[in-house]
Amino acid sequence: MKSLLIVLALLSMSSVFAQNWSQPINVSNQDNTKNKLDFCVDNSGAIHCVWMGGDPIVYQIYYSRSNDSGLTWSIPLQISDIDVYTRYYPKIIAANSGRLLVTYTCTYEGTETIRLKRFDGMVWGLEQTISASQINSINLALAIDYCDRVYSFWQVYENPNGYKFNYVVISDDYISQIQSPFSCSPGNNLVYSVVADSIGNLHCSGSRRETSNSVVNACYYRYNISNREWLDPVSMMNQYNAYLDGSDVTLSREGLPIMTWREVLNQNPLNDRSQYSQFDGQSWSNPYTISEDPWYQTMVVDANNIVHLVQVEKFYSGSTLIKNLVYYTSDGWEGVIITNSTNIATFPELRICNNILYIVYVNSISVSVADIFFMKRVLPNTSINDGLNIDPVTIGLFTAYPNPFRESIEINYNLNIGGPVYLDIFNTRGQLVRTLCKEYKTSGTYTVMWNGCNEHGKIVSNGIYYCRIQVGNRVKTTKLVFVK
Amino acid sequence: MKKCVLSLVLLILVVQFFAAEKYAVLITGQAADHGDPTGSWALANPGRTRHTEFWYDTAMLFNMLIRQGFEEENIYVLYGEGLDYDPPDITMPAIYLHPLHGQITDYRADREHLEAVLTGLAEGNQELEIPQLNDDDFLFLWTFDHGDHESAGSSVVNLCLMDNVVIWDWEFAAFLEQINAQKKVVWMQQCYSGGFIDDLEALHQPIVINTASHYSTFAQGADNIPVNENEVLSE
Repeated sequence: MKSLLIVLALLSMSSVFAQNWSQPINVSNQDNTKNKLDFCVDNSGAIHCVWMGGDPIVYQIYYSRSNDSGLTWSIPLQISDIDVYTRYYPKIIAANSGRLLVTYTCTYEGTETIRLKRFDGMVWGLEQTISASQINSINLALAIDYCDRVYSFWQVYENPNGYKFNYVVISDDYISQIQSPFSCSPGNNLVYSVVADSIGNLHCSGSRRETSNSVVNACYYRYNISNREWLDPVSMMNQYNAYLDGSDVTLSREGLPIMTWREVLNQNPLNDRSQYSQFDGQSWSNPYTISEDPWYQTMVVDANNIVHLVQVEKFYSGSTLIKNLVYYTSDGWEGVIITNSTNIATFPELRICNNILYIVYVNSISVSVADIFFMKRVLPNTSINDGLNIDPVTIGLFTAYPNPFRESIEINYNLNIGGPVYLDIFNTRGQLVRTLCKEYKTSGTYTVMWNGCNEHGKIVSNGIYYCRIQVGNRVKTTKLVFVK
Repeated sequence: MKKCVLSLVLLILVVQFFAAEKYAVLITGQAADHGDPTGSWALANPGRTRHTEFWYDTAMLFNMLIRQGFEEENIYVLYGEGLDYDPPDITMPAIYLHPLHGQITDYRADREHLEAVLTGLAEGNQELEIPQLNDDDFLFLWTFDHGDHESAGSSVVNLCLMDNVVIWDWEFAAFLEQINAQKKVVWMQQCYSGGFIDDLEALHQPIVINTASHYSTFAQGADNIPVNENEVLSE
């Protein structure tokens, strides 16, 4: 098992170099429990990172900054007030003149409030409470527009109806009344990620439960700044529950929204996937499945309108579950493993600034020993819309036919570049069912058959299986349906 | 010199092999995922949802154990149907989630899995990767769900599990008796849980037991919600 881990680690290490991602730099250096994080890049290029950590019962909010593009980081500073309350889910935004705003949830005796912490360029101020104290009022998102209006969103529970979002608008010396644009009757309305466009409209990815008994749809919310109104939400009308851990929104070069979300087809055994859709000015595209088994998608768009997406994916080594970060671009949607965790790498946040991708994430040795890490990748210098592929695709084609299948299925793949090929069948629990290929292959087209048998020659049961091909550090997954 | 190094390596290996470990078993059965909306829990807790009691206590205790230095793989969680409470469309407070948002729950809280875990700790279970405990180890057991009794006033009581199955106090004691540990701490929150005390005391083992109620009474939440009027006021 250890050798497998080492192989995985080596493969992942090689990916870091192959993809020009920088070596991971430890931001926190604290070796204790870590949880969700956020970061931003200010106008001067300084990177500001916040995270929750310290103790799984009494989390606090820590901050570190880098003035040299992530090479070195300041000693972590606890910015949440020092008392017995627990604080978590921080969000950070950089405003003009070196000012920072951080929001987070604060829990005490079973109720939650949203707290605001400001940095004026010199010192951190005292915490301000910007919400009412209610059960399950949880910090969700923070956004800033071109004129430094900051929007802070949080979740509100209204017993017995359900959940909705509230928000306030924050400026230098003013916090608005609490806004509550949607009710939670008959269903829920929540946003998880918000971005402002060049004229100040807000684009939000979130979820919506149309009625109290329906599934949770991924949902797009839009606020028009010109007439100060929220438009009707646009549900993606998927038939499966869309989860909050993986919902993100970004804008294309034309200012049109692009959404990604995680949806769960079945809870036990877990069967989930990451979806992607973009708005063309008239309608949303049919959702495209990027991969199976994702968590925490985060994405940005570069100057060529190429979408860069990072998400958490699970890998099994025997019965040991490892989670690592996988990087995709819309230029082929071929995944690249970019971390080498031997336990869990998670909670990625991706930003782009001056043609450089920045990523900050948690890497753990165990549940109580983790640190925050930073990596970056300088994108090739390309003129806008020149159509140049930024990464040569290794796995050119990966198809299965017929699907669903009764007796056997033909799996075809084409390699543009040769490499060590692992072609495995997994069940929906993520357990390895059969290895179909485990050898070095040169570039070319290959076909392999699977007859529905496991490693012991026994016919597997009806249902969904995943075929994952890994060539070096590149991965692609496709779903197979076996019907006896 | 070689002998010295070899002895040192051997000593380290021996110390690691026999090092005392802390283990925990957290059990929350049927009430977490099933239950009659007009049943006793619902009647006693109007307007409240089950997760706020059953899942919150389970998850918070898991995080408290992590805080106290328990290794995650040494904490066996049997909860409801075998899944964490993970609603699709809301964000949960962090203290009720796994710190890395992995799974807290290991097994369905049924009789089969409870027996597998307890006998695993007594004898070892390779398939489930449960080690056999030794005399130096520490074991913490925590139970929550409904509890019931044989008849009114009887100290023969049980803990409810999934599928309308129970484990009786004498059965629970028999399982515990087989497990080696330097000390076992049993902490029970269910109704009538005081009925387990005599069975565990009769083992004459180093067991500390703390129960939420006497064998003849209900166990009630100690909160500041004005139900049952045993609240702890925050003011």
